[in-house]
Amino acid sequence: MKNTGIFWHIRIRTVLIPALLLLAACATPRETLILHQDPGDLPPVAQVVGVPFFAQEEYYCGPAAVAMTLAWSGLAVTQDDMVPQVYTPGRKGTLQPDVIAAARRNGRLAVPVHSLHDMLAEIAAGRPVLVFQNLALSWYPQWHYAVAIGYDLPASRIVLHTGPYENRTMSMATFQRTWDRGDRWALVVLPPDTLPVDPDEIDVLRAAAGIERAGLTESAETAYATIAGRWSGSFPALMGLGNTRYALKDLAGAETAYRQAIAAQPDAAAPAWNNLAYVLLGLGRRDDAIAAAETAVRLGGPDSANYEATLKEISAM
Amino acid sequence: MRKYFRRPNVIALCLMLSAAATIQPLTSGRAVAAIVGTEQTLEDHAADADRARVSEFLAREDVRQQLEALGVDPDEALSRVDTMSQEEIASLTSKIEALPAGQGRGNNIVIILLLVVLILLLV
Repeated sequence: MKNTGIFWHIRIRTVLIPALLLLAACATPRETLILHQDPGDLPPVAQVVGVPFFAQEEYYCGPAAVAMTLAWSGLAVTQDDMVPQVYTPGRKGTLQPDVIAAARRNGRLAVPVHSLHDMLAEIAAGRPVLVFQNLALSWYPQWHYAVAIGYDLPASRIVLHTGPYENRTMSMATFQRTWDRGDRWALVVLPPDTLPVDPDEIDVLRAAAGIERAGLTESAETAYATIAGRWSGSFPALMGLGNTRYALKDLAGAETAYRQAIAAQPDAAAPAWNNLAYVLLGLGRRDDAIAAAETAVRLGGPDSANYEATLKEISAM
Repeated sequence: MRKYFRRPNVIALCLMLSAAATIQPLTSGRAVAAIVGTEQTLEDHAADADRARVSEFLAREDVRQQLEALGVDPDEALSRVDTMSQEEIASLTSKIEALPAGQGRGNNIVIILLLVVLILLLV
């Protein structure tokens, strides 16, 4: 009997207390609660001024939200311009990859925002945040895109351009629940010379590579230069800088970038040596090009067959 | 009757597979001399960063203590990370990233348990 008593005591501690905590979590979502208790370096109130508002036409919350962020970033676009780029008639809505693709096709960095704190930090720094919400229930969703443009921590409110409403305020807790139900998807859409407040190197590199893939080579070059300015030893950023400059036929600039990449990680710089070989060949320095290709082959790596082919090709010229 | 009709399909499949096996070395064996794309460099870099993040996590003192309490040798867990594939590493890092920063230790136990289970399952 004594054992049973201990057992029940443990049961109460392990089952009841977490259950109570879960109930408490229902009242105010944890992240919102933490922001109120410890806002860190966030100012208590912030609002992004000058975010254009486009009232959403039926089913066009996606085009409207994308147009608002792109227009804020300095592009002359409207909701109607965005419809062919992001709207999927068959789904009567806008898919998330299309939102990201639209930003890239317009030469903008689309960078994910991972937490409510980071979202408010972007707003405090003067950037609107494109958010995805589920306004209904998890098993009966009503998806919606909106643009978060302000907040008021003491009043626990967030300000959105949403649907037909300009500067609509919403309780922070309600907003967080709708955002959580939308799987916490949010983006900042930034000009290529601007990075998020607390950027993740890989996130911004992927955003820049997306612009490069979309064929906006000059914007991509700017983005890589910006990232290399933030992380001076970022090998992928310097490679991207070299590759975009090579594509833009700025061979001298490409050489500088590849040499910086090599200096950043000399032991794993084979891709930079390989690409440098092509630049040097283009500059008419065939012997240097062969030497660079040989270095790539010597360093080797997963792509070594490519390096060997490069050496063969350049030596035959 | 069914069996009778199935046979030709199996033979056709075998033929197709053997044809694919003979064609494949001809196409994939030839490397193209080209500029290495930014995205390829980026994904290699991201993979290295993921691996470093998992190792860093497993080297944390509180994580080591939890692992030991569960009867797992932390160094053994660490050495298993080296043998994990990129996909396995990525699934682990997404779990680690889900850890709330600056939270009480109690919250972390569940996720650490999850990580341990993942490691044991995957390797």
